[in-house]
Amino acid sequence: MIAVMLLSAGSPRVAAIDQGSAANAEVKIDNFVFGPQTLTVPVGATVTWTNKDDIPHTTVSTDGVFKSKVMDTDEKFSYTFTKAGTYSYFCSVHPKMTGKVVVQ
Amino acid sequence: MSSFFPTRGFLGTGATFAADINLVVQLIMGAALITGLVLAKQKRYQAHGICQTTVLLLNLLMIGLVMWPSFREQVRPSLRKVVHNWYYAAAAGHAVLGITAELLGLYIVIVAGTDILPLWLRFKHWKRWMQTELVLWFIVLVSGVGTYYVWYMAPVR
Repeated sequence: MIAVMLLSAGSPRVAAIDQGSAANAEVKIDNFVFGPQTLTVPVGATVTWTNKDDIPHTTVSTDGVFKSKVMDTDEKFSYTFTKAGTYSYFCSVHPKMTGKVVVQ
Repeated sequence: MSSFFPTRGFLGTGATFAADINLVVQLIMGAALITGLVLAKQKRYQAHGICQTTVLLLNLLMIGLVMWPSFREQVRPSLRKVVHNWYYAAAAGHAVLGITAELLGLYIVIVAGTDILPLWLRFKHWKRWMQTELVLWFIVLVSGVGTYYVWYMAPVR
């Protein structure tokens, strides 16, 4: 049990949405972190990133698949994933901030 | 962000490549200005002029390629936050000081190196103007390093 707790405490935050539910998911940008850092969604899902931070951020796909404009506080960016795959992304203003969307 | 540069920086601070290269170039330019000052003290005025003018023009290039695009994208849309947020305050303060230093520098270069301006627009107290510019430039340099810190190093909070 303790080992499980330790393992889960050390792992990156991962979230998945129910395949049967509406294909929408949210990623919050707060305190220089994308949350959840890894999101699993079905093909056709629309993911919305919301900047809850008090400074600007962006969401840019590593492969150039999507790219948001600079988002101010509470501004949003959405993208619909039409193909399965793993999409890594980062904030182009603060490249240390990274995240991943797994489309199944 | 300028598309001229790759995204990730090389100084290990989490900054962009553009920010890292700009920081390094600014520090080198600061050293070059000190070298230019030494050249003037040695009465090598032509070399002094070339050195300081090169720095001024290189800075203009860095403003165009790095600082202005960054300011336009990130700070200008949120100018209302300048008073409340160090992220914007540092950049806005640096921008005001930086523009002043760049314009003053261009004015000095035009007066010192050309005959474009009429006599009544040309200064006479060379040392005073150039010393003022040098002091202002170093204030800008410090504020620029401060902005880099606030934007890329302080965020680990």
